[in-house]
Amino acid sequence: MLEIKDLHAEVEGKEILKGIDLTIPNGEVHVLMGPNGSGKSTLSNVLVGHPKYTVTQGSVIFNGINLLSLSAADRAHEGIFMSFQAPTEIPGVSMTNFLRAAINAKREYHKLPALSASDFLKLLREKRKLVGLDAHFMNRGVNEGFSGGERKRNEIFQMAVLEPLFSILDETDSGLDVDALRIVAEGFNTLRTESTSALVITHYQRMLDYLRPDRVHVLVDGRVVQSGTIDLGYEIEARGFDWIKSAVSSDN
Amino acid sequence: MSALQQYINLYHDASELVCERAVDVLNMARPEAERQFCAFVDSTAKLEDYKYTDYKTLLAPDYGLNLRRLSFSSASKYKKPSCSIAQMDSVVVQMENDVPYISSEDLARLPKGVFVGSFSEAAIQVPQILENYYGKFAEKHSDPLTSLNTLFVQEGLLIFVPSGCKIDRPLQVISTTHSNQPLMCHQRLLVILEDGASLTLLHCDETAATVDTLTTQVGEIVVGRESELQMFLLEETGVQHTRFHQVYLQQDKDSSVEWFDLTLQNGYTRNTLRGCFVGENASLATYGVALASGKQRVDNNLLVRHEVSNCRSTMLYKYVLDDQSVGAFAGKVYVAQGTVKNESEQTNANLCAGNDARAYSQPMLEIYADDVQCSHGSTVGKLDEAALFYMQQRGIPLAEARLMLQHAFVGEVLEHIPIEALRQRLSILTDLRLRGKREKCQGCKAVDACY
Ligand SMILES: Nc1ncnc2c1ncn2[C@@H]1O[C@H](COP(=O)(O)OP(=O)(O)OP(=O)(O)O)[C@@H](O)[C@H]1O
Ligand SMILES: [Mg+2]
Repeated sequence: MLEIKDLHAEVEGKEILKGIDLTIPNGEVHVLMGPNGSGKSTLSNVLVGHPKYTVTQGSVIFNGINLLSLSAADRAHEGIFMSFQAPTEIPGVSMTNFLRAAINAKREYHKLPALSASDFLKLLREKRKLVGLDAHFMNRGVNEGFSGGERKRNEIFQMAVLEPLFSILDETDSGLDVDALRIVAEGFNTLRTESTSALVITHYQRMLDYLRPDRVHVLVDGRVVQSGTIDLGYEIEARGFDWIKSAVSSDN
Repeated sequence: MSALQQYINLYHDASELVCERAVDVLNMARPEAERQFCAFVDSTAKLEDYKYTDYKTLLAPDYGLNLRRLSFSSASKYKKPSCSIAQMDSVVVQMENDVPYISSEDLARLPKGVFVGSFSEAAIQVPQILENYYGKFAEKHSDPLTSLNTLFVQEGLLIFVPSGCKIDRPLQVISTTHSNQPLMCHQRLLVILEDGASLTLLHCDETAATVDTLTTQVGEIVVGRESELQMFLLEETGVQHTRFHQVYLQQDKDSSVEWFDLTLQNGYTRNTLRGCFVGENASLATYGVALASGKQRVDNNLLVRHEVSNCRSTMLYKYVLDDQSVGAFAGKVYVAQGTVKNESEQTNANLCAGNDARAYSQPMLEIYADDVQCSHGSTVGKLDEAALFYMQQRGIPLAEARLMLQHAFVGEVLEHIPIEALRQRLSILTDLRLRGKREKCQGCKAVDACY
């Protein structure tokens, strides 16, 4: 279970998250929606420990662990994964070497021996199939020369390989064509288990259709202003955010 | 007394001793070298070529010279070195200080007409070659370290590949500095490729000394028409080693040279390459990698002269500088008047991994022709923060992520190495060096054990 309590965070001296409360039980998928610039990516980055973002108040407890006290790499080892809104290119570091380093670092953290070369290659092959990623991508630099859609597909491929407990998908759907979106969403669904959970950031209804989230939350100006079932998501798709914003400001 | 004057004095006192134990060709070149060197002693002018290397200060300590040519090595002369790059099956020449040794078995593996051996041996077997080429290229340039080398050098290595001869296995020179007291050593290399010849030469510099040492190395390399040379220079010495390496390279028509210079471990290194095209349609591709940390310094200084038309030269040099290390790159391309269709490309990229590391970069063009295509660029940067974070999010610890990015950065140079086995080996050596697991060359067994 992930429990975010009264989380405040700033970037470059500016407060972006202004007291977030959010609980995501194991086995559930929650969707986070909100206008551009409301702080969705900021929240994601704070959860995974991006050094640019400073937490000024609040706590994040993940399966009993104080997440904020861990380094970014250790959070990953504890099972946190983020599919980046804009995945970075790493020229010269092949996908294979990159994933081997990632997997073995996690195994070392959990005091497990490194994966054998053949087991590792088998794992890559299996997971590539899940998201329909061609083998030749493995020898290329990480995201190097990948198209926008290929990068997103690659994010979910990495998620499949690393088998996280809690995943954040930051607009993974944007940039994917309709077929790719279906494959990626189906891939994501097959990875769901009783002990995994996810926070999915999206602007589009199609993602709601595929993932059937347990809860939908709306973030406005650094605060979760409304939470509900999947129907809240469809309502936003139909009506936009303005009605929520005005409801919030009339409350204040 | 000035730093340089001591060498003139020493030469005056010991010239008989110097000459007595060297072949005539070497001795005949000394008067001119002395004249040139004296000019540097008297001059107070700063040399543009030595902008980033204060050679006078580096030459100031009172090193000993082994003019009596005592053997430092207790090991047998033909001891097979531990260095054997997998699958390369190279012919090995061991250089102990300035003296080359090659086993008779290895000699027998070379094609007929090829000469690989010491200058003393060459003076007996192929005196004409030594006479025709020795000092003919280096001495045209006015360079204090080259003059100093010519003044004192007593032995050297000649590699001669006759017309049409293509040596299919690499030749590996393992040059080791041996000494139990501060030592200055002068080494000499002469490589002649006649027309239509080809050679792959791997030159490793290492040190067995744990005292201050300084070597000057002067190489003269002549590449004939339609000849091919692949040269790999690998330095894995130590922090107490100062190395002045000068190469004078001349290329004739339709020849091609690929030049790789890797400084993985050193004290103070100055690499000078003077390339010159004297025949059309020739190409020279140079690549360099320098990894420095602590107080290590690497200064690569290149000049390629396009004296004729239709030639192509490239430079791709990358440095990873940590701690307080200093890297310098000065690359100059000269294109002579009246030539056409010359091409050149220079790239120097520096990664300052440590906040106190410094990089100096000076790509230069001197062009007297209109019909040319020349480009140059240099960058000094830090590791990509976004990439570092992406890697950490996937669970790769920061230190490991940094190493992987540094390795990828120099990997862009290593990927040009045309020999697969060598590329892999050098990639591993680079990785070990970046991890701080390799203080100096420990032989290839140590590497095999790690992988
Ligand atoms: N690294 C940063 N430096 C400066 N400002 C930042 C940084 N990251 C986020 N911000 C600012 O914080 C605010 C929230 O940005 P964030 O990226 O979290 O929005 P978002 O909800 O993800 O929007 P979108 O739907 O457009 O992706 C914006 O005003 C943004 O400019
Ligand atoms: Mg965003």
